[in-house]
Amino acid sequence: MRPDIIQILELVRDLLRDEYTEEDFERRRYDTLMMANALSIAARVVADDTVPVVEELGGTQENFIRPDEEEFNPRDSGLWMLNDAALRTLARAIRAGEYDPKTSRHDAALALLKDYAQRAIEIHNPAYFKKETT
Amino acid sequence: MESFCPRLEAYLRHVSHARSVSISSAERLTAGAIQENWLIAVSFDGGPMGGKHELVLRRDAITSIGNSRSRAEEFALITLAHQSGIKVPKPLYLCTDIDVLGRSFFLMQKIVGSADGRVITREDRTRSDRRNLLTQMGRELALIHRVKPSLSVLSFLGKKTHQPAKSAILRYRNALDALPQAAPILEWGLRWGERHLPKPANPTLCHRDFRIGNLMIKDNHLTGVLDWEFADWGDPMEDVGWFCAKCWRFGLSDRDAGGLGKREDFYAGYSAAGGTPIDTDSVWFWEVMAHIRWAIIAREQGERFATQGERSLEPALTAYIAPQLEWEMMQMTEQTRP
Repeated sequence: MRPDIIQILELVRDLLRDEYTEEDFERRRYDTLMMANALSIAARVVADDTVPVVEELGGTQENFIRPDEEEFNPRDSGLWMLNDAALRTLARAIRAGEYDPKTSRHDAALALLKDYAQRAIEIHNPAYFKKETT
Repeated sequence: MESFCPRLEAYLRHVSHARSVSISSAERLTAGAIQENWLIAVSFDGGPMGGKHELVLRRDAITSIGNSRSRAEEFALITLAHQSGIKVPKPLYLCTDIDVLGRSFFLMQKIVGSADGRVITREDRTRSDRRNLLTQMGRELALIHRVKPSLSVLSFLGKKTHQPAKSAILRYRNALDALPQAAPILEWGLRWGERHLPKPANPTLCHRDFRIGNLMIKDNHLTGVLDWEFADWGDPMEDVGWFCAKCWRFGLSDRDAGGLGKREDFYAGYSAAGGTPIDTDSVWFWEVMAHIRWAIIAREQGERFATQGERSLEPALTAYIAPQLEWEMMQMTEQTRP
């Protein structure tokens, strides 16, 4: 995810260290809420232990998503996070129509993408799904 | 007092022909995620502006995103809108000399009201109040779409096309190509768009960010249309779809007109004021595209922080809403239009 959450945390640290006095917190409520949000995202990113595994598997992912591959289930494999090269390959193929409806890999690609988006929301804004169901 | 105030006072004295100008406060407004907006309280001694005024200064941010217009272009658009009787802040002065405040800016009269979408959508209103407000909004959008500017006035706008949907897909793909990280989910949506193109449309002046959040509301009245930085020729249904898209309902999904009420009320105001006949298939297409466009903007906002030196939390965290926009877009492309 760009920008890297660590970059954002560095800014939060700088703001707290250099620009905030005690009375600022109420006056700058909006900024304060954003900093709290950044810290919450960071906590969930740090707690998510699947990312390093995915990075190690990165080299295999391009093969994994090629149209001529057999069925796959990203959840079963634990391969929810695609690396940059795999994202580019998949994006190019989608633009070229290789995953259009009625192609053999359409349903699998759709499942992968939905899974990918869902997983990202679970880390970056899990309250989103709760709001949707209430 | 902000360090730029003495230079702004000197500039205002010059352009307003006042004997003296005094700024008593300058407050950065949180609204405006891309450009900088400041509320300036200023007194003019003499000249046509003589007296006390509250002005809004809109200045280029340090960085920007693709397809965002310059301040000079936005000033021209607001001026045209003002002359056309559309509710906009009265434009006053444009300054493109970066020696004055370091970046281009313009000043306009402050208009009363609030544009805070989260507050506006949750304020206590009767059904009738909401209907009335949506009717006003629909009417104002129709007025924008009825503006027929001469090409010389807005020569900076893009080329007119009868296939604005195709143009949008091309533009969004170019925007994605310019970003460092590929976005297969958004590519999925754009490919869906290619297969579901709406009918050709007459090129129309579109605001392209007409939504709750950019509309000033005072009590139950629309007082102004803000943020013209994305205006261009386009399909009028794009503005309708952008207004109604789920991503601009501020969490109140069942109110499909901006989180405020029913889209039928918005459509009624739009149609009564001479807007283009509503094409529901086209509106649906543009609602899907709204999620894609907003997700691209969110990613571009992240890049302002990650690589362009914008040291602000707002653009950085905006990038993190892209997944939920992508998720919603995926849901929409799987279902038939409601």
